[in-house]
Formats: sequence, structure tokens, C-alpha cells
Amino acid sequence: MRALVVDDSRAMRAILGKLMESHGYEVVHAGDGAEAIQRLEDGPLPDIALVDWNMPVMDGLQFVSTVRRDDRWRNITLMMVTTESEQSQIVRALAAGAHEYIIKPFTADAIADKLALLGLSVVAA
Amino acid sequence: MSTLLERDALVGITQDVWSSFLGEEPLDEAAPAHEPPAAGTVTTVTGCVTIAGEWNGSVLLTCTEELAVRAAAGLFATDASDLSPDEVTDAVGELTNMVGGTVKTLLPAPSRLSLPSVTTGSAYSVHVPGAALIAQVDFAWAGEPLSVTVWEG
Repeated sequence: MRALVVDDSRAMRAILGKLMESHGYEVVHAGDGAEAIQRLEDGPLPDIALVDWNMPVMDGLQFVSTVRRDDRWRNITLMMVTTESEQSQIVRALAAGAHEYIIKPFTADAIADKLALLGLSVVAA
Repeated sequence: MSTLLERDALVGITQDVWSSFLGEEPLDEAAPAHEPPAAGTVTTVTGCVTIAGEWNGSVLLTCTEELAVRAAAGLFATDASDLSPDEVTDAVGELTNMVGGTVKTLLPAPSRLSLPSVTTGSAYSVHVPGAALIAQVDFAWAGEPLSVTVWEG
């Protein structure tokens, strides 16, 4: 299983990367939505993308919308991982095509629970 | 100070962020330093995010460079000696982002959170013109001071 971690913070990419590796995922990283789109173009495709919202160049919402518009990427699960916690923002992200939403700060258990909910657990938590 | 943001809430938010990612050592409230260190004697790091919209203001997180390096080592799960200055800056920026983002949830909505900016130096002060201090909490972590302030305006 492969995960794409999209966040402008290297620290957050390191944290999420290690978490996903602990769940048996091979992890690739991107520092913004545009770089993440390039990762998808270059392949191989991830099974899940964990996406921050507030990023330069292309933010997470734009990335989600772009992925959802492209039939090549229809099987990628999209999970927002962000500090944006207003109900309206969550609704916007889900309407744009995100499958799940997790708010920072998060715990390792919260990530594990979301993966289980999405049917994407590789290693038992 | 304003009651828009309760001090205890700011304490809880900061401690929650710390415990989520840096939980081995607790983040304890501390009495504020009576005198700031003399200019040029201590390198400090300040992360800042701004909030704009229904509510306008800034959230600042200020610490010593030593605390910043220790926090970065925790976030990157590496030895402090393996960190680059950019990684330390990045770590403070992300901690500020998470504290500020959570603070935003308690303030009038809708509002947008900026990307964090981080300043490092030994002889600077941060001023947001026209802003009023509405909350401040001082902490100690591994013997080093950390201050979180919220400014309106």
C-alpha cells in the first residue's frame, strides 16, 4: 500500500510519514498541492493521500478538487489532515471530494481509527 | 484582558498540541520572567500566524532556540545534532500553526488562518501595530521558557 503525504511542513510530513510507515505503507511526500499533482502524474499512484489544507502554490482544497475531476485518480482515497475545524470548512472539503477529515493536533490512534474506517488498515493497530 | 479567549483555554490548547507530538516531557505553566534577557544574550524563536475574517488578530509562540531545537528533534524524531536550521524553523512554524488553528476555533467565525512565519534572533521584538494583547500564557518545557500570546487587531 502506498500513501502520499501532502503538507508544507516538513515536520508534519515526517510525523505522518512515520505513522503511515508504521501501518505498513510506502510513503511519498509533497510540499504543496501542485507538487502532489506532479507526484500523481509521475506515478505510481497512492492508495491514500493525506492532505493539509493551508499550503502555498496549491492548497489542499484545490488539490482535492483537482484529483476528483480526473478519472485517472478516482480510486485514491483523500483524507484532509488540517487545523481547519469549522463545520463549514469540513463541509466544503467533503463536498469537494475528500473522503475523511482529521483535525490537527491528532493522535496516532486517531489516524489508525480513520484508516480502519476507510478499510485501509494494512497492519493491525 | 479580554474574556473573548479564556486563559485556561489557551493553556489547554497549547498543552494538547505539545502532548500530541512532544508528550514525553510535560509542558507546565510557569511564572512569566520578570525581566526579559538582555538583548543579544539569548537567541529566541517566534512563530506567528494571523487570523483574518470575522475576527482579526495574531497568535505568537516565542521560545528560546534551545527549546525550539528540542521540539524540532521531537517532531522529526531525530537527534538535535542532525537538525538543520530550516527544520527547527519549520517545527516552530508547525507548532504555531496548530496552536493558532485551534485558537481560531474558539473565536468568531468564519476566519482564515495564515501560513506561519518564523523569526529567529537575539535582539528583536515583534509588534502588531494597533493590536491589543488578549491572552498570554507562559510555560516551561525541559527547563526552557515558552510564551504563547494572542493579539486582537
